[in-house]
Amino acid sequence: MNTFSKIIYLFSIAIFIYASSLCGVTFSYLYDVPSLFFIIGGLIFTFVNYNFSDVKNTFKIALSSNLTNIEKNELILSKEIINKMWSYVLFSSITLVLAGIIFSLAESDTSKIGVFLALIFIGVFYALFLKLFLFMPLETSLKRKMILKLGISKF
Amino acid sequence: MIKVILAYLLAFVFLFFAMGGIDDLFTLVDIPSLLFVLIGFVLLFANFTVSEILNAFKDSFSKNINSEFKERYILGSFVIKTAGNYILYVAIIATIIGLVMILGNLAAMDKLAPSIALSMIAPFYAVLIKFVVLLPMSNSLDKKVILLEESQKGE
Repeated sequence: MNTFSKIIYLFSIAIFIYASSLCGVTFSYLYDVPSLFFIIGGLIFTFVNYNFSDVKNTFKIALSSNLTNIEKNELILSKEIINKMWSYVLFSSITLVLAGIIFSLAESDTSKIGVFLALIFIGVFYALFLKLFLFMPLETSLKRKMILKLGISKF
Repeated sequence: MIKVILAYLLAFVFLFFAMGGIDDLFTLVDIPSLLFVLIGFVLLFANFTVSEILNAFKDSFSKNINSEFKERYILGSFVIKTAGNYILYVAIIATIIGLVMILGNLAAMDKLAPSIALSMIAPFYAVLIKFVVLLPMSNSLDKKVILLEESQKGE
């Protein structure tokens, strides 16, 4: 990842924050500690399957800009790890949504249901935010390297 | 080229009729949603070099097939598919933010309309761009790759 890519990445996050603020979204709307813990819990599940060094290596390979020192097996393993991380995060957010719906419908005060439902979608927002700004750039970078280095055309 | 333009025009005529005429088109303009979709294209520059992206767009419109450009066509098709995936994910995030805003503000009716607009217009833009612009381009590049593979088999 060179300097230009880093600037572009930060620029895209800035556009995201600006576009959200244009619709009246403030930080307090999208801040929810239980949802955050759910998503972090999902991420920790990755270490059940893979070593810490493998995950660290994945980030290193995806972010490095030179193609010469990378092996085929490493690239394939890295792509697999990113996919597994995303699926763990996705399923933890789906679990959160289902649990949230059950708890909100069990609530007797009907005026609170709206706020409960809003809270359960924040977990999905965190998961998708991670997908857009972390997993997809890393996965795309790995796939690009696979095309350029190994000549793979279909994934 | 004329065939392509005619096909596009015909598709747009059908879209206009389906939307109920040109008068209603201004309701489809929403700047935050446009900014959200723009993020997808900006993130593309974090993963690929500028020349790779320009080549992808150039190759998808050109009629000639160069036998030495097989890898370039594969990479170009991947660039365009990635752009489509990015804008779809951004649109889903915009929908989730819109939903959180709607459900968190059920009491304040004046904030409902922009939130609903955001949650519906961003996916509309994303789907429109993906299926009207990006999918034909990536299909055109895929076709070139298949034609090249078949010609190489024949030799």
